[in-house]
Amino acid sequence: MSGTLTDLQAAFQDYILGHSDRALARVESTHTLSAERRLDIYHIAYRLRLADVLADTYERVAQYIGEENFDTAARAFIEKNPSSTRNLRDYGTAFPSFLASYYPSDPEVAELAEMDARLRYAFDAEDADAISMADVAAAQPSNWDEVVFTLHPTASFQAFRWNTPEIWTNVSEDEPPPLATQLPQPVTWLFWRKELQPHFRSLAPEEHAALQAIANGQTFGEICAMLADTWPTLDVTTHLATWLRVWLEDGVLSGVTCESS
Amino acid sequence: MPINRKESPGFGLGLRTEHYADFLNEPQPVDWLEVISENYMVPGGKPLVVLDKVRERYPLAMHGVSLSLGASDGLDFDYLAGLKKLALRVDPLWISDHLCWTGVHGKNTHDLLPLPYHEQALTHVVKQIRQVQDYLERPILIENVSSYVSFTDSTLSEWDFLRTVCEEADCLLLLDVNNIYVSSFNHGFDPLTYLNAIPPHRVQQIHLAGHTHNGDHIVDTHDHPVVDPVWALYAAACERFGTVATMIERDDHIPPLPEVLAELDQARRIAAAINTRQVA
Repeated sequence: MSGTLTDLQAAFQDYILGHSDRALARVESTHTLSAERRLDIYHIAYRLRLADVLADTYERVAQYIGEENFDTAARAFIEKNPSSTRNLRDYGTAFPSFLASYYPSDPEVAELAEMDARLRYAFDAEDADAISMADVAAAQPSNWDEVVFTLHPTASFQAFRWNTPEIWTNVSEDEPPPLATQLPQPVTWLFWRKELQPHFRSLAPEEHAALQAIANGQTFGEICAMLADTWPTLDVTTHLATWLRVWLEDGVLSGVTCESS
Repeated sequence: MPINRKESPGFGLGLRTEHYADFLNEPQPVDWLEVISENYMVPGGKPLVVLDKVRERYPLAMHGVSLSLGASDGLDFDYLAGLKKLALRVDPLWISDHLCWTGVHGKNTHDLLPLPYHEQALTHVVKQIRQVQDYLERPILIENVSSYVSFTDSTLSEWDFLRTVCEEADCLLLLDVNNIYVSSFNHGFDPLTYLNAIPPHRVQQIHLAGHTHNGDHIVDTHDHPVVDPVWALYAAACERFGTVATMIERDDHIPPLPEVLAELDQARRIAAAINTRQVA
């Protein structure tokens, strides 16, 4: 629609976002409050609301860097990133990458934010029943090479270059965090939900490759071949059998099919 | 024939995460609960598990904050699809949102922004409420918001605007008594003039809440107990509207459940006293 409602809403929103003050001419003053002070109530509330959401989603970051530092970073982010999400809880997905540039000398801060985000994702990602060993047996795979597993929809991976999970754990338990330390090699961690609670654990490169291949829809046979090709000295069969048992116990898989069936 | 309100289910509370265990572990003296729709418009996990369990124990009303009924650039049908999906899961007493807008042109302020009160806005919001009701296949409740600005464009009072929107869109009302009080202070009108303009048969639900008084203006913060002038206004609402489903909203500095239940008891006492007097 065109006309005064469209103009007014654009002007009001621009004032809230800090883009223009042309809404001032459309707002009445009272005997106690000027139009500017009245509009500022919305301008201020917008920033407070988004900062609160960031502090909730990135709770461990806020604890690690302190409320004052967090608030400064959050407000800098909010000015550059107006909300375009319908649901407030979805605001701030770009905050971890923002923190990477905001704290270039402290890369563990952005990694902590990534970890908070992974755990938040696992918390309310799509539901699916985890499969058990009995489900695998019931699928009656005659040829294991053709078996395809489904990774649980709550599962995701995150590589850390720093001892971030250790920092996160200490902070969450109100313990002093260890000194941020760069790892010799990045380590990938698995995040998923089990019995309504987010879980995480580290993965060896071989196990990560196997789970990533499952996420990509590869067959058991293809995964075996990939592992043998990448790590020629690896006892692929033994490792896969061990991992599979752990994945099933942990609820990391949500489906099993045999391609030929 | 215009829509009429349903019979009141009684006295309720807004369900908050801080009180999940209280509601799941033992029966509580509430007749129904109101949930914030957006908190459960998630793919899965604990929020929906808790929602289902609470629903087994209590009737639920769905209350949204993101419908943006007055947005000049139209409705968000993806959001509406999510709302309808949640309604199928919950089978709610009713669905409500606010007579406001939250953002335009792909941006969202996540605030309940007031509309200018004039014919163009009225026609537009009526059209969009009708679209929502057609899509959801049910009447909705619209809630009056607290506001901190008034516009030079406005040609109608807020109460005339609200009443006319309800009648022309043929929707119901969620009357927030605290919001009337807050806005009456901020804009300098008599809250009873507002109440007396509202058609009783449209009022399906009443919200009560606390606010923050900043001296020269009041902000609707839902972080304090209900204040005496709002209780008095609630009594006047009970006189005018009769038995209406009433609940307390608390969104910050949330106290233990017994404190909120005690506030709800005060609402019960006020409503009962007026009901008794009217019957006598």
